[in-house]
Parts: sequence; C-alpha cells; structure tokens
Amino acid sequence: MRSTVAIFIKQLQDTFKNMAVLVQFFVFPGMAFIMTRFVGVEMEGMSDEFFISMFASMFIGMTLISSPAVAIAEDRDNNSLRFLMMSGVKSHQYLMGISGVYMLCALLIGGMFTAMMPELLLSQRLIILASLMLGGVASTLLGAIIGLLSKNGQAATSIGTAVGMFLGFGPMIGMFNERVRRIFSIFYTQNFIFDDFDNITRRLIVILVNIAVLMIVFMFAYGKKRD
Amino acid sequence: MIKVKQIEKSFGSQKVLSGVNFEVKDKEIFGLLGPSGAGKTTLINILTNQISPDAGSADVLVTAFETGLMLDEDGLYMRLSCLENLNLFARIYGINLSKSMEALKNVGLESSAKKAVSSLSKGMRQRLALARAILHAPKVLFLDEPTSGLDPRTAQGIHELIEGLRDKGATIFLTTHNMDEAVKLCDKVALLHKGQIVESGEPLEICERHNSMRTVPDLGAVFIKMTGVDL
Repeated sequence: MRSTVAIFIKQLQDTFKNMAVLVQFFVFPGMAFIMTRFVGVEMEGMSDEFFISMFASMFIGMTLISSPAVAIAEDRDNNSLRFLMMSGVKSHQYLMGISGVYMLCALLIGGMFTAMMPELLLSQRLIILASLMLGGVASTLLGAIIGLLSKNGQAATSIGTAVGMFLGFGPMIGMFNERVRRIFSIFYTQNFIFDDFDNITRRLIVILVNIAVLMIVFMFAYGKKRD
Repeated sequence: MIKVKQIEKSFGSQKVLSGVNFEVKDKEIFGLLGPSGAGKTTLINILTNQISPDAGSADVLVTAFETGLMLDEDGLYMRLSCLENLNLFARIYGINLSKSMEALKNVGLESSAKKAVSSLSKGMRQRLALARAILHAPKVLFLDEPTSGLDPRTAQGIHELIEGLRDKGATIFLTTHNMDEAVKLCDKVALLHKGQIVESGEPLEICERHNSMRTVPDLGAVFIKMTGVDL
C-alpha cells in the first residue's frame, strides 16, 4: 500500500509540474463552458448538454489515454521504472498509483462538467460522475497498455493521440451520423450518461465490458513485456 | 556478502561474461575494473537481479530492500525537485522523510533541495543518485562508475562519502575504469577483460606482484601487461 501511495504522490507532483498535461486538463472543460454559454445559447434546438457531453467524452477519451501512456513510457525511457521495480515496487502497485491520479482528475474535471448543468439533481450528478470515473478507468488502462507496448515516449504520444482522437471524436461524429453512432455504441466513450437516464444499466454494462476487455489486454501486454 | 561462481552470459552470439568467480566480504570496498565493454555493467545487472546469467550463480546475501543502487543511468524524475525525488523512495522504503534531507546533506546538496533535477549539472545529478542509493542505509551498495565524468573535486567528495559508508558497515561493490580511484578506494579489486577476470586481489599486492610499484602503485600498467590493452 505504501508503494502505491508513494507513486500516487509522485505522479500528482509530476502532473502539476507538467504544463503540457496540465493544459489538457483545463482546455476541455474551458471549451465546454465557452461553447455552452456563448455559442450553444444562440443555436436553436441545441440542448445544454450537447457541448458538455461532447467535451467530457473528449477529455476522458483523449487526455486520460495520452497522459498515462506518456507518463509510463517516460518512466520506462529514463529508467525511473527500473529503480522503482528494484526498490520492490510491484507492477500492480505502480499501475494503481499512476491510475489513482487520473481517477482523481476524472472526478475533479467531471465535477467541473456537471457544475455547468445547474438543473441536475444530485443523484443525476453522481450517475454522471460515476460513468466518467469508470470511463477514466478504461482510458487509464488503455493508456497503460500503449505506454507498455510503445517503443518510447514519442511513440506513446503519437499512438495515444491517435487512439484518443478515434475514441474522443467518434461520439461527436456519431451525433450527426447514425451509422457512426451505431458503431461507436460499443465503445465506452459513447456511453457516458449525461441525459439518457433511462438507459443507465445498458450504458454502464457497455463501459464495464470495455474495462474487462482492456484489463485482459493489459495483463497480456504486461506478461509480454516481462518475457 | 557477495558470492559469484562461474558466471556465463551471452547476448546472441556475443559472449559477454565467461567463468567469472569472486567473493566480496562484509564491509569491504570491492572494485571491478575494466575498459568500456568489458562486461562490468552486465555483471552489476546480474548481481541486482535485473538479468539472469546463462550459467553459474550470483548470491547477494541481503534482501532487495537492503541494497542500494547507483547505475549508469540515474533514473531521476526531471520535473521533480531533489527532495521530492528522495521522498518518493523514502515513502517506498517506509522510512522517515527527514532521512531525505539527511541524505542530501551527506552529498552536499542541501542548498539545492528544492531545485528541479532538470536544472542540475551532471555532477549534482550523480550526487543525487548517490543520495538516493544511500537513503535507507543499505547493507550492500552497487555503484556503477560513480565518478565518471565528474571534476576531481566532486569525485574526491564522493570518494570520502564511499569510505565513510564503508566505515559505517556497508559493503560496497563498484565498477570503474579509473585505476587511481581503484587503488585509493578499494580493499580488493578484480580486473575484467573481455568478460574474464584476469587478475584479482588487493591493489597494492597486485602491483607488487607485477612490479608496477615504481613511484606510485600503477594498476593501469598491470592491466596493460595482462591484456595488452590500455584503459
């Protein structure tokens, strides 16, 4: 446990000192706020949730994939991971410490998104936050897989960005195209709950299935890397 | 404290270590000497369980927790401060965070405690890596080229620190290609050439055996005599 806490504190300190990552944490809520308040209100038939759900999906699907991917690849590149492992830190403790920071970010930034929807009930806010947190778990796992399998930090950034764009932008395009919407309905980024409170169970199941699949791939990736 | 028997290691078709034997006693500074590519780092990697030998055995009679490491790459977190880097390991080892500042004082970096690692010079980073290695007062210290690329004054400071650690009871295994450093610091040395130990023993005894005492003990001359290769 103390190793997980140590990694968590280290990652939190490192994240706050990394402007490139920090900017990503605020750009999506910022964009959602601007678009909702200054653009959305002038567009007829546009719901308040449109930009919020779009940018929240982008945040979870893009930032929370690329950030852990780069963090893990960086630790591997500069040999920090080697020292951690030789100090007795186990892989699951390392992953939990790193993921914990991004879970916290998903919670805080998710809170910012829900704060933009003042008409929501407390229970609805909690459901949104829970779906975003679970999405954060899926994204962090995916980021860790990319970080483990990439050759170096640069490759992790490129792959993380590409995968993040696919998963982050897909749901937005799906808003305008039925076929894309159907395809992306199997991915967790299209199943965050913002307004469709009648289908909570189905959406949560899709996110949980995504997490289960990613967990299996992560274990495979870690095993392959260890061999 | 460290027992190495008949170690063999190859990478592909290249044989890196062949029939390596030696023993390091408790509270001893043992130097493994040899030019770049002799197999020193591979041997440290085997002793620290990072890679396995193809044959033979390497026994370090302490737990991973009782081992301190300073390797060829420092593995420090560039954006974090010196103190934050050490605090990370203090938390992992479960020791008081005040030990981090103590370790920084020991390597003369207390005034740079809050500086980001990225702003430090190479010598300062090396001292910080040493501070991390000694943070938890390990029983065995592995130091891979601890003074390479450092100015003489900084190197002297590190020598004094290593001797101080030995006096406090630590066993130290270091690699170097600096023969003067080896003569000055080490209780015992082994000369490694192309993956084989060509000579071992106390530095002065080796120099006497090969008539290389002249004005000062000259392990470099012994190495040339044994291998035909200059360091």
